[in-house]
Amino acid sequence: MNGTIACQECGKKNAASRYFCEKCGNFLQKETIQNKSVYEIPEMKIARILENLKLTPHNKIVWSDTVDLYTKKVEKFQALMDLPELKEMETANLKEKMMDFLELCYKPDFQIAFVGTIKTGKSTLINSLLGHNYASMAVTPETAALTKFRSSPRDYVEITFYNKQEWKELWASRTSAADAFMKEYKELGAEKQKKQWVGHEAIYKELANSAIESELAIWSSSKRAEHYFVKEIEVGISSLPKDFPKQVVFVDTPGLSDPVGYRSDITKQYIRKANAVFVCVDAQKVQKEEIETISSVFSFSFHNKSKVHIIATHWDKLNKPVTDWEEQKKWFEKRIVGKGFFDTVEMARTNVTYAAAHIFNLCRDYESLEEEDRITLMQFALGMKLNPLELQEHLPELKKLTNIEYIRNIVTEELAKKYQVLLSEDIEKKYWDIIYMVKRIAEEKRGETAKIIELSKASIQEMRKEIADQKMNYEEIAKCKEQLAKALKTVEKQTKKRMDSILPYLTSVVENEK
Amino acid sequence: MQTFYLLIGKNQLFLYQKKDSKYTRQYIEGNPAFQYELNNANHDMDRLLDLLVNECNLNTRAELEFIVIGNEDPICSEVMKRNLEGFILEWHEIDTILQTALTLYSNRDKKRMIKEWGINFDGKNYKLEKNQVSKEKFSLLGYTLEEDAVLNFLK
Repeated sequence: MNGTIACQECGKKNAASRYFCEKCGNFLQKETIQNKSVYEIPEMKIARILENLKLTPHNKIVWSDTVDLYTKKVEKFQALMDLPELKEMETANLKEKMMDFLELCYKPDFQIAFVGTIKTGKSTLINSLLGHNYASMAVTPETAALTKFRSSPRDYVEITFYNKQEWKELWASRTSAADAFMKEYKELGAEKQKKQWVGHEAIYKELANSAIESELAIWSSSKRAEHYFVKEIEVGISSLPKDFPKQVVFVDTPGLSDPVGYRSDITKQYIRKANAVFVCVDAQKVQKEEIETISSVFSFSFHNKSKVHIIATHWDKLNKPVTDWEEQKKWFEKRIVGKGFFDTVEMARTNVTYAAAHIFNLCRDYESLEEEDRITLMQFALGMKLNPLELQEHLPELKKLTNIEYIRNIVTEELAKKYQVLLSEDIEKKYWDIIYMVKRIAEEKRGETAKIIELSKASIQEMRKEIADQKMNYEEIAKCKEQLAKALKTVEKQTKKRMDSILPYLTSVVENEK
Repeated sequence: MQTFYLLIGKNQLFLYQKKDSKYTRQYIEGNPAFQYELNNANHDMDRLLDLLVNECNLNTRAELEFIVIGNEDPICSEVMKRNLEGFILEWHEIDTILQTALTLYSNRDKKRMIKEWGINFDGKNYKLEKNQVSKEKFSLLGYTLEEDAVLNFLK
């Protein structure tokens, strides 16, 4: 007898044991079962599932075709797990794995933490790499909340607040240098807003691209009371330069020397777990404080010093940028190599560079510059021995001098690509893990279903016998359990009796030895 | 005036014209849908309007008007509304249209099990619960409504 049965609807050859066509869901045993109502609804269900599986919504993964394929499959599995028949099964572990897997694929994180003392130009540098001035670069210290920037298909801002416990710990961690913090806290009337924001659930806001800056200003500005209670801000940007790696996340940190110890602890945590750390130091004044900052960063990155990159910012403000920087770089190569710093001079040479991010941003936004900024650019051009009256012509050259393209290259070509290889391997491993679990569940379900079908074919007496056998098995197991418990209790009693008799003798032996 | 019916998808627009109570999909540059990017909507809508002026042999954009069906995503709808300001004759919320679809199907076509399993549209599953439309994740059991069918529920 042929082991297959051809579907009358689509012609697909199915295993003879099947009831529904695996291609179109059509009921295969219509000749044996005349009563339509028996199979009509299951048939429609299966046909619909098969059709809808092709239409399952998919979040395209642009950074890897392979991962995109894996994600498509897991999204379908996830949709299947929501079916009522599978919901009852013990699939919580699998569902969690699938959610984590998809989260990793949609939002792979290669975190680059930007660290440095206040006003070293971290936000300006970030803006130059992002291609637009999202982060505030005000003259007075601005970045008060840890802010993450990432590429996203949708523009959004997500704000996380301290919970009550975290706020308690933060408040208790104010150092002796927190006078300015307390003064500003009072002046802004922040205490009145505390109850509203501490413990507030995270706010997720999708918004138009043009509204990101203003939304960010509300939550991160040190001039607004809300910022005290903001633990973290995440900004998703859809309009980043096309070559910006989708998995890179820039973390703009408030500062290592925050007068509130809890907040600088958060910065330290990010340094530890970040895939790369860009330490911004002001090229004009590399002094004790900057070396201490660098040393601090190394102490949290001792397991992977090559992830630390030193960027001397405000390069354009040096008296003679080109020659002064050469001297400075040599000084760095001597000063920050050895115990507690870079392991070798080569590492220092590769990982120490400069940036003139503000100038880069002025070049980028040339068409809309105000007079003051135009003068700044002209002065820079003059310093670089370029004709300040021909700024437009010299823009590409001026941009190159700022070194931002070089830093962007480090991010895209070196760091992100290396990480992508490791990430792809991790994702592949997790994918096959999920496939294995799905197959196991499918086998279990198939086994259960087959058993039910067999049972249903059996006569009522056989079913009763099956149930009785099951019951007997359970009763036997319960009996054994009881006997085991009794035996254990007896052993326990006897052991105690024996110990009680030996212990006094042992004690007397010990006493006599004394 | 050239009137178009415009259905807003997540990153594509579907255009129709009505003739003798029938809605016909309009192909733009040979494509069944017009692709757009949310963060570049201004530029994309400019391009669409110019294309329509050319394809319909109009003198100016002022001869164009749209009856628009919004997207379940308020950001998409908001951006489109802003970029089509001055051209919108009517605006319909997709929830209202799907409510009509759900009511009609539930009453007239019980075999599709729409009352139990809902309608899938644009990646979401819609059901009627106490005469209100509820929106959930895409369901493998839901009856998937094609874009072309949506306009039939426009009042």
